[in-house]
Amino acid sequence: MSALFWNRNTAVWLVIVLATVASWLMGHGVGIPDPVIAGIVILIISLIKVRLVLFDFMELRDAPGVMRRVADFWIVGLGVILTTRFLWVGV
Amino acid sequence: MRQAVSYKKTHIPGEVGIWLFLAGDMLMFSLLFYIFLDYRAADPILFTESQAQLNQTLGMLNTILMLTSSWLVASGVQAARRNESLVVRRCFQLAIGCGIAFMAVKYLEYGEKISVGLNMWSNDFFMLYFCYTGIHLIHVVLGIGVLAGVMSYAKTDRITENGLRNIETGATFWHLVDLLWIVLFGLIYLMGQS
Repeated sequence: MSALFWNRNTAVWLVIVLATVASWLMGHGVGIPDPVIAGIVILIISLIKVRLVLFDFMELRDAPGVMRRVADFWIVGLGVILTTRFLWVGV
Repeated sequence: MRQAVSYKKTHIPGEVGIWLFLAGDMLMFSLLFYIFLDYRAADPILFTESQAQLNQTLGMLNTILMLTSSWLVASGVQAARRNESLVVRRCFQLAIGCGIAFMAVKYLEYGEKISVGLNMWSNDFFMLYFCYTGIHLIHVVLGIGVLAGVMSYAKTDRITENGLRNIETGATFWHLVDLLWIVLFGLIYLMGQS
């Protein structure tokens, strides 16, 4: 039963919950005064959380390499595209 | 302890088809994320002001509910590999509980907005907020059904290879619901606020 709790998944859960709280704080001006920079950091943190869920909870870590590469490509690509769109305001 | 399945060097959890569906759904939502920021670029002040009227604390609570439900589902899948059917059912039941709690929070949140006259016709931000979180909510309802359904493969002390694959497939769909919310929360509730 203890294998259910004291394992990698629980550690991952703790990290992504803390990352969530950190994002919430940043969305309230804590730590990073500039809302633009805070916004980008929040996006990056969100994508890191996505990667952790994909690779650990969803076990992509043990999946064929092509799936892992597609996932990473999409995460990075989405990060770049959304960051660019977020910054290019008023165009 | 008999292992239910023997693994090759790599393993795809569940049916391959669920991963194709996942990729398609993520792609569609990626487009929706871009569209949100596109609308925002046209009127960032309106978006920032409207966003400030969202309840970020309820949003964070919902995020933690989603993350916890995913942890429970992942734990359940691992228990299924150990043929611990009771643990599987408990984990999935609690995950469903988190899903129901998520829906309750959403109900409160929507209620808060509507009671002050904010709805999907108020402005572009609220149109996107209600539409995107609404589509996600449909995924939550479907996911609860899926989890309830695949739990039936963990009835006895022997989970078949087919049953395990179905449990993994259902788990993968549920994680998709979590993934979508993680980005939605950051994008709609937090990005741009100070």
